[in-house]
Amino acid sequence: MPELVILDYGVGNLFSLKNALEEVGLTVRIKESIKQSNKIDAIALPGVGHFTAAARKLEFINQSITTIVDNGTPLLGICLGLQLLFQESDEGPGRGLGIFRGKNVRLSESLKVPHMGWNTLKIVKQNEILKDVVDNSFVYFVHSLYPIPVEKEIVATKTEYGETFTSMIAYKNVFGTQFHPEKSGPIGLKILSNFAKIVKR
Amino acid sequence: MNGRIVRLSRGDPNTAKIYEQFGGPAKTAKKWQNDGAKKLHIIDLDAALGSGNNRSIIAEIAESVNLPIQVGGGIRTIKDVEHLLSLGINQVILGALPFSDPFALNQIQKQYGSDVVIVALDNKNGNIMIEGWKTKTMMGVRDSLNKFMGIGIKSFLITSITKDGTLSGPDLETLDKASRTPGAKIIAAGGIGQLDDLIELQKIGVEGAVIGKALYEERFTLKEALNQFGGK
Repeated sequence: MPELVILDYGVGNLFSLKNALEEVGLTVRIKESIKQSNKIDAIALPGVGHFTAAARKLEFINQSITTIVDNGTPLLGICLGLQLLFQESDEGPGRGLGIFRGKNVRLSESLKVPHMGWNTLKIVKQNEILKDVVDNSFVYFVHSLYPIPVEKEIVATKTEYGETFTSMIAYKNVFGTQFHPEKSGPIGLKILSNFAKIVKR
Repeated sequence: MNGRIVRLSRGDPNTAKIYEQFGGPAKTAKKWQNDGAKKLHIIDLDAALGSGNNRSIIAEIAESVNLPIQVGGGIRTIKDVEHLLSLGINQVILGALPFSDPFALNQIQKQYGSDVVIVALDNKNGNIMIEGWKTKTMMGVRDSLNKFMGIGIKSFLITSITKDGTLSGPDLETLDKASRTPGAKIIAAGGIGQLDDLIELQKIGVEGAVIGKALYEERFTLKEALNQFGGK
C-alpha cells in the first residue's frame, strides 16, 4: 500500500486524520521531519495548531517538502495545513511553505468566530478530488482564518460564511481543504478516497 | 454505561435501559453516521457517577466514525481533557469542573481554545446540579450563562433533569430565557420525544438539540428529523 506521511508540527490529535486516511487505503506514518531521500508516496499537513508555531517547526524541512512536491508527490493540506501552503498569515509572524502566492486573513469579527460547524461547498472548478461530490455538499469547518490565493485558478470550491471564502484548492498534485474531511462523514471520506486514488496512480 | 448504550430516566442509574438493537456502541455510531448524523454526543455515565469509565469504548467509537464528537461525563481534570482530545474527540462537555475549578477551566481554554469547551448547565428547579446530578450548586441557568460568557465560553448544553429521559417535551421556558443571552450557543437536551419538539426548539432559536431516547425508542427516525431541519 502507498505510504503517506502526516507531518506532526503541533499539538497532537492527528488520530482522526490518521484513521480516515487508513480507511481509504493508505499506510500512514506520523513524522516530525522528512528528508528528500525518503521514499514517500504522499504528504498530509494536518489542521491543528498555530500558524507561527507550525511555520517555525517547518522552517528546517521547508526545502525538502517543496522539492518532494515539485517532483510530483501528492500533498494534502487540511485547515492550518492549507494555510501553510501560502506565504504568510494574519494569525502571527512566520513564513509558510509558499507553494502558492497569497496570505491568510481573519474572518470578519462581526461573525461568530471560529466558524465552527457544517457548511456547504460551492464547486467553482471541477477536479478529480471532487469526483462524485455534488455541488452544495455539507462539510465540517473549525477555523478563524482563510487563505486568499493570488492565482485564482487554484480555487476549487468556495463557501459562504458572512463573506465568500476559498474552502478548497486543487492544482496539479497539491490539494488543500479549509474544512476537515476527516470529520465530514461520508462526503469527507469520498474526498479522501479520491485523494488516495490520485496517490495510487 | 459498562460499555453499553443505555438511557436513564432523570439521571437515575436504576432506570438504566440498554439500547443495542443496532449493535454495540461503535456499530451504532456508524449507523447514525450512515443515516446522516452530523455530530455525535456521548455521555460517559460511569465516569459521571464516579463508578469507572468507558474511555476505551469512546476511543473505539472515535475510530469507527469520521464525524465531530462531543463527550461529557466525569471530565474533572486537564489530563482528562487532554486524553479525550488525543482520541480524536472535538469537544468536551464540562459540568462540575467549571464550578469546582475555574482555574482549570481557564487553563483548558488557554491551551486548547474556547471552542473545544461546552459548559453543561444541568438544571433542576432552577438550580444547576453537578457530579452525576447529585450535588446542588447555588447557581441558576441565567447567572451561570453570564458568568461563563464573561470568561469566554460560548457553547452551553442545557439539560432539564426533570425532563431527561421522559420524552415528555423539552423545558421550553428555561431554554427560551437562556437563548436570549446574546452570543450564547445553546444546545438543548432533555425531554425531546417527537418532531414537534424540534419545531418548538427551532422557534426559540437554539443552536442544536440532543436527541437520545426518542431515536432509540424509534419515536421518529434521524432521517425524518434531518429531512425536516437539514441538520447541521
